[in-house]
Amino acid sequence: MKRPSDQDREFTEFVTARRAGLVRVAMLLVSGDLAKAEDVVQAALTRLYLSWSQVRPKTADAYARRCVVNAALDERRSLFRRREQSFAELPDVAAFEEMRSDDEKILALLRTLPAGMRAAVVLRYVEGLSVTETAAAMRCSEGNVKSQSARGLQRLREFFRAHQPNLI
Amino acid sequence: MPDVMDILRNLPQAAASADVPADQAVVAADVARGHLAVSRRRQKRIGFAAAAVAAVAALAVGAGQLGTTVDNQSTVAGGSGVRAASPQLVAYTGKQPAGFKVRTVPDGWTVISSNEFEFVVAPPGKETGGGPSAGPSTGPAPVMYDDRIAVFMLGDSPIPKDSQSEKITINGKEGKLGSFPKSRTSPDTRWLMFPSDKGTVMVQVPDSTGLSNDQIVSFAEGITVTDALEKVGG
Repeated sequence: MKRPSDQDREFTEFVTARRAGLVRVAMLLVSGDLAKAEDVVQAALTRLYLSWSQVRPKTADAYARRCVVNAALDERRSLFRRREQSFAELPDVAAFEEMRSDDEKILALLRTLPAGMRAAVVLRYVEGLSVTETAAAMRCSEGNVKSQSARGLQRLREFFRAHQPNLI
Repeated sequence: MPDVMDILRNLPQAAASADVPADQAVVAADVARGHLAVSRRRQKRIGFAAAAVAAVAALAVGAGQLGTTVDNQSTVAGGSGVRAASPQLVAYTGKQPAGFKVRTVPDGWTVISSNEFEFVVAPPGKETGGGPSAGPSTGPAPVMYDDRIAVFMLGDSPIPKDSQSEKITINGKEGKLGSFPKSRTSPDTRWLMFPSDKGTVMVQVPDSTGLSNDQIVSFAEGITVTDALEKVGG
């Protein structure tokens, strides 16, 4: 059994090293809003702290990521009480076509995906997690991850291709 | 034209505006929030313990008045309003989930979500937060499993090596009943897996549901995978 001072020291070291990366993932999961991402990471780290005595060093990264994903999806669901979003929204085509970089366009398109689909795409293709790791982070089945990430990728591709400038 | 997949892979660099070293004051604030959460949890547990003591006392008084004993599976009719510690399994009369057939659910619980791979059963008051029943074309956000029973096709997902489990019999076939160690997923979650024609079925039951092992087995025995389910593998 670790002493509370040792736990705090280990937790502090972990957060100092990993916090920026967690905020980056959170930003991608909550439509690029840094303030919301910070709220998500704070909630996730509080959850992590509560479980810290039982978290093993090898699984700390995965557990922290799962806490961020859950906090991000919880954050999104709080908006659902007012307006349920179970389908992808269409982006503003004119604004989209004025964007200069592909990164900016993809970030805009990610924001239009339903929260769970966005999480699957971000974790699988941006963070490079396996299907199994993504399912563990999202606490859903691997089949669900495969279908959500495939559909999300398809939607991004379709809109991206349809609104690229014609190259002559 | 670049492929979307390549752009996604390079996005971590694009989002680097947030990728700055953590300020020590910020980290200290995270630790302070953790301390506060621990303190609140302790206070809540003290409150629960006091309520549990009161409930046990009421149970003893009620049983004494009625002249009966109460076990985990039964309710006492009338009298002082003593309730069962865990929900009873009752016949499920709601809409069947896609790809599955469910015979029983805990009393008052409903199937709140289903797709081609899984379904989720929620207790009263926790039905929200799930997406609508969906087919392949709609793709709603995945439903979370907190305090809910989740049933899904396992595919090739390995059971954690450090999970404790025992062999059981489900409808004449060998299955397993185990528990996730607390550090891996939500605290205190039991799982049950059994074979079907479409693959291995996994039933996840958080301890917060109050179901006993026998009830989990009974619930699982009432689950049938139908031909409508896609075979899951790989």
